[in-house]
Amino acid sequence: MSGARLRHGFLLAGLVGLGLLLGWSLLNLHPYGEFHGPDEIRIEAIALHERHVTNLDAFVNFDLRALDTLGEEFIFFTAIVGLSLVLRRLPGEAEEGKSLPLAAGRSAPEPDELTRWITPAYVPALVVFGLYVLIHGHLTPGGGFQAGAIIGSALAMIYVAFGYSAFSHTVDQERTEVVEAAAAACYIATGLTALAIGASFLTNILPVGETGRLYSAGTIWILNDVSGAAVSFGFLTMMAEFISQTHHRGSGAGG
Amino acid sequence: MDKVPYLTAGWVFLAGLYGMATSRNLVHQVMCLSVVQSATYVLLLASGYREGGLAPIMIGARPDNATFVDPVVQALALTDIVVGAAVTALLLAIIIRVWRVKHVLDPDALTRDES
Repeated sequence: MSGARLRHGFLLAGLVGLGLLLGWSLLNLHPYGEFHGPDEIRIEAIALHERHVTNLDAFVNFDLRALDTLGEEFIFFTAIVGLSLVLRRLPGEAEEGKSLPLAAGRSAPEPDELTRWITPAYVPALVVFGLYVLIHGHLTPGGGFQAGAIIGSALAMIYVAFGYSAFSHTVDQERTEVVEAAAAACYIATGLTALAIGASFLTNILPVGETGRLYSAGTIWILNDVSGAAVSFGFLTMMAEFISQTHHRGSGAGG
Repeated sequence: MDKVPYLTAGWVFLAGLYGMATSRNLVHQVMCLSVVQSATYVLLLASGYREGGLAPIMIGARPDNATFVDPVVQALALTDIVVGAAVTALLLAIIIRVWRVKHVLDPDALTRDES
């Protein structure tokens, strides 16, 4: 079809043009490895001496840019609300049965026996590791978002090994939604508490404690933990929503 | 040659864009969008790198007058990844909805049905 060929030609011309502009601008950036931001000295000094936080990424995310992180968390939250809204079953399409067929000539693979043996030991260990990454987010690499991804993927293993019914028994979607929303609300509540005592929204108002200890860094610790809870339960809601697409509720097929 | 990391980001961006424009499958198209987004991670992290810089974690033993890579762009990359995951999930949900209504995944077939 010549229309498709014409379109392809336009695309290539556009990509070449964009590539030239992009290459030109990228080549005009500062030399690789020689970044001298305006903030480099101050961030380190403020983080260590005024906030007693050792993970500078956590300091940037939950103190300097705490308001942006609030926005980011609500992008995530809104995406999950939108996902549930888009995927809800409308009255007309309730029992269609062939909503997501398998590829022709293939059946759903049985869960591997080895996976079934490993998962019961692996999931709790991974959840504990996720919690460790979560509560030490202000000290060592990691933090709320990373921990949320670890905990979420750990519980996804239950679906991989034991199928839909086991997963939906473990992860109650109605409850994960509530916990996720509550965690997001706690983030705002922390900010509002600062307003109530006369500081700006999301000011770090708590005592910063001793550098390197678990209870340090003031509200960074709290914001990190509540966003970790929001992200992990958000991932679980997301997975429960997607997984339930391939298994009609009530039809009960296990794996 | 010191611009190779930046040009890598540009190359990944263009490759993903080409995939998005020529894709014949909506799921594949979303994956290409993720590739485009990965280019921004490469660019952010490359632009904040300092020669010999350590990770910006101030705990444990570290040499005196050590340099650290820029934490601001790392935090931005983290934001980027979370938003990327949210966008991917939402787009995949919309694709499931499209499949339920039309039973096609080819973006061209969608517009053809419309006319």
